[in-house]
Amino acid sequence: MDGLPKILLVEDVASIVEIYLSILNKHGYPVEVASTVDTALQKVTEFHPDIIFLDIMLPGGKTGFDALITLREDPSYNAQKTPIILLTNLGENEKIKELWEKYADGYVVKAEIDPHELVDIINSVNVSRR
Amino acid sequence: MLKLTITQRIAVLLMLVATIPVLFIVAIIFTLGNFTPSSEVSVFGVLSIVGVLMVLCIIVPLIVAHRSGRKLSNQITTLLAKSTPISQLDNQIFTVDELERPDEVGDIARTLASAHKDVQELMQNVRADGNKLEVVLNSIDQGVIAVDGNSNIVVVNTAAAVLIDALPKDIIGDKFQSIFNWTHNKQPFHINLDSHIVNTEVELVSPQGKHHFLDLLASKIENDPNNIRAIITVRNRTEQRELENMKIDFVSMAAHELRTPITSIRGYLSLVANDETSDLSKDGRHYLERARTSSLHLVGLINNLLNVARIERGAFKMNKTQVNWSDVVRTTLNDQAISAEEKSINMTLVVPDKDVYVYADVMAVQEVINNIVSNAIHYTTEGGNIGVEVRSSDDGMVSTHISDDGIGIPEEARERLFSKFYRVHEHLDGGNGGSGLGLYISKSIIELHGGKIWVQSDDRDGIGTVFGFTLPTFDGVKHEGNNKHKGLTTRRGWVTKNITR
Repeated sequence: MDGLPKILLVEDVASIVEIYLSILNKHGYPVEVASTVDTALQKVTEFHPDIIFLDIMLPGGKTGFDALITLREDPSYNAQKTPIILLTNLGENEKIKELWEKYADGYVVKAEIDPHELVDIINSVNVSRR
Repeated sequence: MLKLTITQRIAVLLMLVATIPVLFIVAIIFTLGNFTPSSEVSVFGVLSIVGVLMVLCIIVPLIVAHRSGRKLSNQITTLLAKSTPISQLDNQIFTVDELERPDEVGDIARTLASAHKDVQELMQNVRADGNKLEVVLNSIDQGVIAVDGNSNIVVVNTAAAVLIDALPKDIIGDKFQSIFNWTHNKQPFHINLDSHIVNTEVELVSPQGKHHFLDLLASKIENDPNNIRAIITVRNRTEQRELENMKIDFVSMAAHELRTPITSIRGYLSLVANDETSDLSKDGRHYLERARTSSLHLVGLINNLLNVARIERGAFKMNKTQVNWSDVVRTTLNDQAISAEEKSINMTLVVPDKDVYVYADVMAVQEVINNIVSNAIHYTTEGGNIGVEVRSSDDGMVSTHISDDGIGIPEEARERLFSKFYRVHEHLDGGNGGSGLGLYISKSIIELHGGKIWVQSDDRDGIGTVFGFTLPTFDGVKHEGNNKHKGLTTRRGWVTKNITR
C-alpha cells in the first residue's frame, strides 16, 4: 500500500464527526466527510476513498443502506471492492446484519467503541489501493 | 303382497260375516235333503232368493264398510295430519276434537298428543343446548375447529372462520388442511392430526391478504362416537404482536436516540483522556475515568433494554460464526481489566493447551462474559480474586467457569437469579448497580446457542460464587449462514471481515 488509506466518513452528527476527524487526522489519514447519501456518492467519485465509514441514519430521505447498495451494485462509482464499514447506533440489527453480511466489510456500534479503536478497525480491514 | 285400506278390510270382513249365515242356510237345506221342489217354489226361485241375498250380503257390507271405514280413516288421517311434520311442532298445540272421545280413536289422539308434547320438549331442550353451545363457541375469542376422520370440518366457530374471511356455515364439511394454509417460520405447516398434541406458533394469510399470527393447539380425540378426530384451537396474537412490534420500534428508536449523545460523551472523554498535551491533575484523570466508567455503564443498560425487548418478541437472533473460544474469552477479559485493577482484584485466565472452536455469535457471548465478570468484580471486595477457566470435554461442549471469592449468593436467590429484573444484593447496589437484566439476557443467549448456564454459590462471606456455562464446540459442519470469510475480527462493539474484495 502506498501510504495511509484515504477515508470517507459519512456521518451527520457534528460531534461524532469532530471526534472521529480528530483521531483520524492525528494519525495522518486523509479524510473527507459527507453528511448525506448524495454528497457521499459525489465524494466517492471525486475522492476515491480506500475505506468508507458509512452511517445508516442520514438526513435527506436516503439511508446508508441506499448508499451501500448503490456503491455495490452500480459499477460507475468504481467502489464495488472498496471496504465499507457500517456505522450504527440502531437497536434492531437484523437488517444491518443481513446487509453487512451481503455487502459490507464490517459494522460498528458507535456507542460501544472507544473512538481510538477506529485505527484498529481500519487496520483490521485488508485494504488494497486500486 | 296385496295391500288393502282400512275401508277395504272392513268391507271384506263384513262380506264374510254376512255371507256365512246365507251359505249356512243353503247348506242346511240341501244337506238335510228334505227340500222338494214344488209347484209353488221352484229350485230356480230358491236359488234366485239365495242369489239376491248373496248380492245383498256383498253390496250392503260394502256400503256400510265404505262409510264407516272412511269415517275412521278420516279421523286417523286428521290425527296424523295434525301430528306431523315434526319440524313444525314448535309452535303448535295439539288440540283435536278426538281427544274427548272415549273410544280407541280418542286413545290414539291422546297418545299422539302426549307424544307431541314430549317431542316438543325434547326438541326445545336439544335446541337450547345447541344454542348454548353455539353462543359459547362464538363468544370466545379463540378459534375452535373440530375435524372428523376424513379431516373434514364438522364444527367451527366464528373466531376461526373469520381468519379465512368466511362464515362458519360456509366451511362446514370442507377439507380442513386445504382451507387453513398455516405457515411456520415462513414454511407451510401441515398439522399432524394423529399427534396427541401439536402446540406451535403459526402464521395465516387470509384470502384478502390479512396476516394473522396465531398460537395453535391441536389435540387428538381418541375413539369419539361422533367420529371427531381432532380439536384445533387457535389464539390470535396479531394485535399483541403489532403492539409488541410498536414497543420494539419505540425501544429501538429510543436506544438510537440515547446512544447518539452517549457516543459523543464517550468520544470527548476519550479525546481528553488521550490528549498528551493536556495538563490534567491526578484527580482530574480520576474524575475522567469515573465519567468514562459511568458512560460505559449507561451503554450497557441501553443494550440490556434492547436485548430484553428482542427476547420478549422472540427476535433475539444469533449471528453465529466459527471462533477460537480461548481468544474470545481473553479479549473480553481485557475489556474488564481496568475495572478489576481499580479494585485491586487479581484476575486469572486458564485455557486448554489446544485451541477450542465454538460456533457462536461473538458479540452476544462476549456480553455473557462481560455480565458475569462485571458482577463478579462488583460483588468481590478489594484485593479479591476472580478466576476464569475454559475447559473442553469429549461431549462436544466447552465449558467456561468464572469464580470469585466475593460475598456469595443466598440459596433462595439462586433460583431467581436468571429471571428478569431480579437483583440479589439490592442494598449493596446503592443505586449504582445493574438493571437486573444481565443474567436474564445471558441465559437467553446461552440457550440460543444450545448451551446451559448455572451458578454455584454460598452466602458465607468469602466462599464466593462460580458461574458456569457451556457452548457447543464447532463440529466442522458448514452451517447455513456460516462464516464464509476466513475469519472475522471481532471486538466489543465492532466486527470486520478479514477478506479482500
